[in-house]
Amino acid sequence: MTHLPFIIASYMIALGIIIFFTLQTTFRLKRDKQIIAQFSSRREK
Amino acid sequence: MRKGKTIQFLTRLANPGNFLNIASRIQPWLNISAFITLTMGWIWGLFFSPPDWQQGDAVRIMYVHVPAAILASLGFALLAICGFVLLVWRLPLAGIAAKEIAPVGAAITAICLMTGSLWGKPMWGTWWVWDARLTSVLILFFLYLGHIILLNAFEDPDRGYRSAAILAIVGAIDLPIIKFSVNWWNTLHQPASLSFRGGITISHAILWPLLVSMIGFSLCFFALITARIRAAIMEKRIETRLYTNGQGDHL
Repeated sequence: MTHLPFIIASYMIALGIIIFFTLQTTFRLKRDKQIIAQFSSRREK
Repeated sequence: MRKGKTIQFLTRLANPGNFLNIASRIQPWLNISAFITLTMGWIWGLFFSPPDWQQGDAVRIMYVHVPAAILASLGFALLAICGFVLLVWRLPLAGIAAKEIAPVGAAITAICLMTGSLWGKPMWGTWWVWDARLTSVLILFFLYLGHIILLNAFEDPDRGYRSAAILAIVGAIDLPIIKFSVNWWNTLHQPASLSFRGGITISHAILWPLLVSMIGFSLCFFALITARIRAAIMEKRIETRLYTNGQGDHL
């Protein structure tokens, strides 16, 4: 395959940014759900 | 009849609570379809599509670069629509959506610029030229950054939302400039290979993986912004509950 370093770098940059945003959003959602669940359990008590 | 139903659906969707319910239901499907199509498009593009007769294997960068370029413009068009809706109808969801779209749009524009450079070096012999297409996309990147900065620049969030909305609407003038720059000016960047008027000027063996990559990238973009908007709505709810419970000082 010609120009391999350029091709690998392109795909890795895109993949890295997608993974970064996916993880960031997943942790955000997880944290928010936990806080909302805490609120709900406090209200039940 | 259908138009009325569409408006009814959009009005329902504009309510953050309804958006959260609908988005939570479609999110898993969006995630799965994004993962499958993007993986399929990239594997097809990397290993099963033929090399270009002139560019060789460097053409495979196109399967990342072109979808990123299209979504960079689409993301900013969405920001401008959100800005318009926010200024005219004052729907809070439009502000939340704009805040969540902007970082993803900026990252996609960065992908477009970086992969463009990586494609330019072996093909043009240079990483960068101050060509009309490249410069207008760089301006788009700065517009995204400006939008993010403006949103967070004011103590009163509403002022931030309104200022960023005006920037998005005015900045949308850059979108036709990006699109037609290759026709209006003599650029190093090639003209569009896919257009409604000019037809398709690339081989079908390259076109299909490109289309699959485009769909995959778009689904990935929408899955990300839907998830981010869901998180932002939940954070607003948490903030409201903390204030109503008298714990606002902890924020």
